[in-house]
Amino acid sequence: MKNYLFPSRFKNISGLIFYLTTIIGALIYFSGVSMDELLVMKVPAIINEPIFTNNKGIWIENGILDELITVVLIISGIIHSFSREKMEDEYISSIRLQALTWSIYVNYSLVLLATLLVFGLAYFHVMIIHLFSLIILFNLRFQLKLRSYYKSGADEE
Amino acid sequence: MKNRIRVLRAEINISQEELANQMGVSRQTIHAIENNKYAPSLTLGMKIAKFFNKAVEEVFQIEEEN
Repeated sequence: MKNYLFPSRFKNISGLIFYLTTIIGALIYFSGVSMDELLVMKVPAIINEPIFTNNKGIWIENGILDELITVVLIISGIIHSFSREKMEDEYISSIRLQALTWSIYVNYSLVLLATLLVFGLAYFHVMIIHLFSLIILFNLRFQLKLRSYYKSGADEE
Repeated sequence: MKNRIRVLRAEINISQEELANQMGVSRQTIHAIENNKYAPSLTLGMKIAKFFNKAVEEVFQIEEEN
C-alpha cells in the first residue's frame, strides 16, 4: 500500500535542520529583532502592502530572513515528520497517525482558546506561531512516542 | 484482543526478534502485540497464524466487553 513517506535516509538530516531552525527562529522572533531588516535584497512580489492598490507584480526590497526560516522550517519539518523509520511497519504507522490526531486536537484547541482570549495585534502573533505549531507539536509527540516504542520490551528476548 | 503468540513462540522456541524478522516487522511490534497494546492488521494477523501453522482464531481471540 502506498504510504507517501520519504526514504529513511532523510530522517536525521532533516531533523537536525528542523530543530536547529526552530530554535534559531524562536530566538530571533522572541528577541524582537525586526527580521525585515536582515538579509535585504530585491525579491518579486505578487502582492505587496497595501493589498488593495495597483501595487502588484513588482520587484520590492525585502529582508528575506523570515521567508528563509519559514521555508526551511516547513520543508524540513514535513520531511522529518514523514520519513520512514529504518524498520517502518504498521505499528509505527499507527503511532504516527495517533500523534497526528493528537497534535491537530491540541493545536486547534490552542488556536480556539487564543481566538477567544487574544485580541488586537497580539492575535497576529498567534497566527504567526500557528504557522509552525502544528508541525512542531506533531514532531514532539511523535518522537516522544517513538522513543517509548523503541524502549519497549528492552528487557525481553 | 488477546493472543497466544508468546505461548506459540515458546512451543517452537523462537525469540521475538526471530518472529519479527520472519514477519517483516520490528521486535517492538511483536512485543506490543503480545502484550495486547496493539491489535495487528488482518494481513499481519494472518501471516502470524500461518507462520505457526494455526487458524487465525487459534492465535487471536476477541475479548468479551465487560
